[in-house]
Amino acid sequence: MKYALYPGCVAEDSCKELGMSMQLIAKKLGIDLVEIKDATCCGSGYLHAYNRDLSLFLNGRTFALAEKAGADTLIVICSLCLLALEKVNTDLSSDPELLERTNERLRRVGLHYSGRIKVKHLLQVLVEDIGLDNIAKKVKTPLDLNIAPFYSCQLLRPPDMHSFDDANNPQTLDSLIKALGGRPVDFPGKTKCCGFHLLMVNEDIALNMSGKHLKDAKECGADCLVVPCPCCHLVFDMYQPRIEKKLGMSLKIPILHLPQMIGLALGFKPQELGLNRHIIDPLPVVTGQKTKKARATG
Amino acid sequence: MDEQGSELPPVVEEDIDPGFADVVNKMSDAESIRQCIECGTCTGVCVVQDVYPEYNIRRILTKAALGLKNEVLESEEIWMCAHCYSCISRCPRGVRPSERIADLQGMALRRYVNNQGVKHAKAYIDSILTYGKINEAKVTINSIGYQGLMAQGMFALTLIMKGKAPKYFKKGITDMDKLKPIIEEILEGKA
Repeated sequence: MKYALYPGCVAEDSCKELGMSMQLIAKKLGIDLVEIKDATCCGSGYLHAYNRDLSLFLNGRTFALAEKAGADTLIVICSLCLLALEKVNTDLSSDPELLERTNERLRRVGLHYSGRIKVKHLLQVLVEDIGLDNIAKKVKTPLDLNIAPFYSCQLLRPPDMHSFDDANNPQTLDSLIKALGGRPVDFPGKTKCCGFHLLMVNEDIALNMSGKHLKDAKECGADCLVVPCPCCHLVFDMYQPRIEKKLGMSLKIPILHLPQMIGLALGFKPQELGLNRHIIDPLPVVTGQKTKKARATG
Repeated sequence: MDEQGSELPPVVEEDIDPGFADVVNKMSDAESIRQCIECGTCTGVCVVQDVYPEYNIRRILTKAALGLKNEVLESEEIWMCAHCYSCISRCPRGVRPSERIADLQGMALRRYVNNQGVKHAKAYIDSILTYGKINEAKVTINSIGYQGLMAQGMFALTLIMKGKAPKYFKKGITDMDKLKPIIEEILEGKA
């Protein structure tokens, strides 16, 4: 099976380490990947709300580019992209008239979309196509860590859009952590929201939301968090110093991108996975120094 | 929270736009937003309400269904939805509250409304229309302004030093020139 990778704007820029580590683990896991470098932004929800036809055209173009590259599945590594692309794809594949109207426009740029691409998040590909057993077999350095899985809103909800995990009691990310030798940490914020959408509208509310989850995860014994969405990463990692200031307490809890966590277990070096780019330095935790020291002292 | 007596101004007839009420009431997949039985589940599961108790998504939708057009579209409240879709998962009547909020956001974007929410979403859409991609640096500056950036002080500086700050000069997609005429036609409602 050939996969197309939808890079996503954040994974290309401020969270470059996500794109980097995705490419590395794909190779190691035998995922035949072609990156659709010239795809437009998915528009998250904004573009769709602003002008639905425009969202259908631009995202339809992305699907057409993926098909042209010979792929039948589009892998997404951001939850906002996932929902936005799934929404458009459902519209286009279920409504022949809409598909034809979009194709009339695509024809003018030499493209055509059949309506048959599957949109899947990386997590879904790992669980459904690769299989957690197969991933477990490739683990070189089991993760000796307590990892809090933060599932991200738009990966789970609305429940009628995604069917690969239970929206109220999700397990896939927990199972993946176990397959990599880690210990998943249950915490109240697991299925909650990082507040990304509010960051530029009302930072105060956004950081109160995200701060609560980080604090809870830490109190539940997490060494770090893993997130399947760079927007959650942006809030939890980049804004963590501001969150600490707001809460008036030190958190210093590292946040791993999903492919970084897998990459560590597959034996890649932290540098290769871009862990040195994070604002909250994950090195003491992932190299085991911090946790072993903490366990030894008490 | 509003049930416990925060002071809401009385609704006067002049504030109601029946045309807007009709549009809003037909917006939902459940055929009508009037399917809402005001159970308050959406507000109860709302992640924003969790940290900001004044936020009441049911009140926004009720106002919209009544036809309080200006009050709803000009308010910052519709931009405080985190789009976590918890309300959609739990609504027993299929109203899909946060998708209705997105519809209202679209309406606010298409008319001239001047508030922080519109400013940010406009900056986001403008970036797509110009480059085909999000230029995070420009979207941030256009959303919160240089002043907002300066107010973050050391924080912004740390991002730059760590190489985490997004690039200001960033290439867009290659065939943007070919896409632009089609985009313009769609926006003008022609294509």
